[in-house]
Amino acid sequence: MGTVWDSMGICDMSKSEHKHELLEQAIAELVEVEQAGVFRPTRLDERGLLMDAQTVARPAWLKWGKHWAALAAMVGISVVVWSVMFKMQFDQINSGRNQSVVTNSPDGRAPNSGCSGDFLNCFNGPTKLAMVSCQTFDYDLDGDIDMLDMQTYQQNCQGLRRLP
Amino acid sequence: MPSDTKSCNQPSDDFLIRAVISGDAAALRELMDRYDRLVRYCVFRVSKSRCQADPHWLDAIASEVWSGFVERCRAKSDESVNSVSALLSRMARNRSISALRSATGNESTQSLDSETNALAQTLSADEDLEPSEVAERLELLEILRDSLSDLDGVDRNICDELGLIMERRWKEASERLEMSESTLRSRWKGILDRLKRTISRKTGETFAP
Repeated sequence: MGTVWDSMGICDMSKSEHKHELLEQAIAELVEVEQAGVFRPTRLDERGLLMDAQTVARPAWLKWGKHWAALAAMVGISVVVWSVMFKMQFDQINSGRNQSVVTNSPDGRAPNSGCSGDFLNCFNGPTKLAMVSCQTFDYDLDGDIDMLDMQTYQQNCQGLRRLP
Repeated sequence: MPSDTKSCNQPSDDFLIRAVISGDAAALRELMDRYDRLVRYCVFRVSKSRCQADPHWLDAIASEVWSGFVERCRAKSDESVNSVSALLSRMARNRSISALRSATGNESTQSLDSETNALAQTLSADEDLEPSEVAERLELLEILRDSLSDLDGVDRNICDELGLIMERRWKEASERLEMSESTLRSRWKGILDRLKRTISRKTGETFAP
């Protein structure tokens, strides 16, 4: 406080006229300050200002958490892709084992065709269903063991009797 | 001089700042009660002509200073503020200078030169004043304001003619006040003496014998 007062010399009675002038200058400044509204309070929405600051501020963990989140997303996506690919391969393998569709081989032989067994005992003609044990000889898959099946049997199994 | 550390009955500035950071509006109002006049006075010192020409200028700049103060407290919550008054004084001064430069940049060259010269003079005059001295100057003005409010009606009318009195136009002032020139001179001297005694009593300074 002494610095300003000493420089102004207001309270020094030895220089009456000078300090009167300094005091008058201070009063003149006071008038200007008063007219400019310095002594009026600043209107401020304290709550709004503090709420805005709070909404703008982000938690500190979010700053480094974003990087971890990105890494986790990359790992997660890779896991999903590999899982899908693995399942597709797994499904393909299982479908090969459980395959029930019967398709003929390029050479015309039935996939279930065989030569073991007694063909003649299974031969039952076009109107009768083949026995389960004889289905091996049902080369054309029409349900019976007929002459057509015999022709195929002869071709695949080198005839009914093999010549010595 | 505003104290940054209040008495034990009032919370300290540091406590209030921490409360502001946590979102306490009452703490911000308390800080404004303590330092709003200082902020406004600092803005006035830098941009006097703008304040006198535009009644909203001072309010706008002061609001920006307080908004910036809150942002600064939040951004540097881990740093303590040594002196809130010094910080606000610097912020008010810098913000006023920035606003003046932005405003004068959009105006004509003639007004730009006058504003620039006024700003240069103000800044050069303020360079010798520390924030604490600015605060002391404001305190003097507040004491004067309180003292003048205690004057009677006749003395207040005399103070209204301060412009003529400072120019020593005693005759013209006395005619307007409808009193003799000698009476006016005597009463004016009495006013100044009472103000000096009041200032001395409130600040603790003693008269030299």
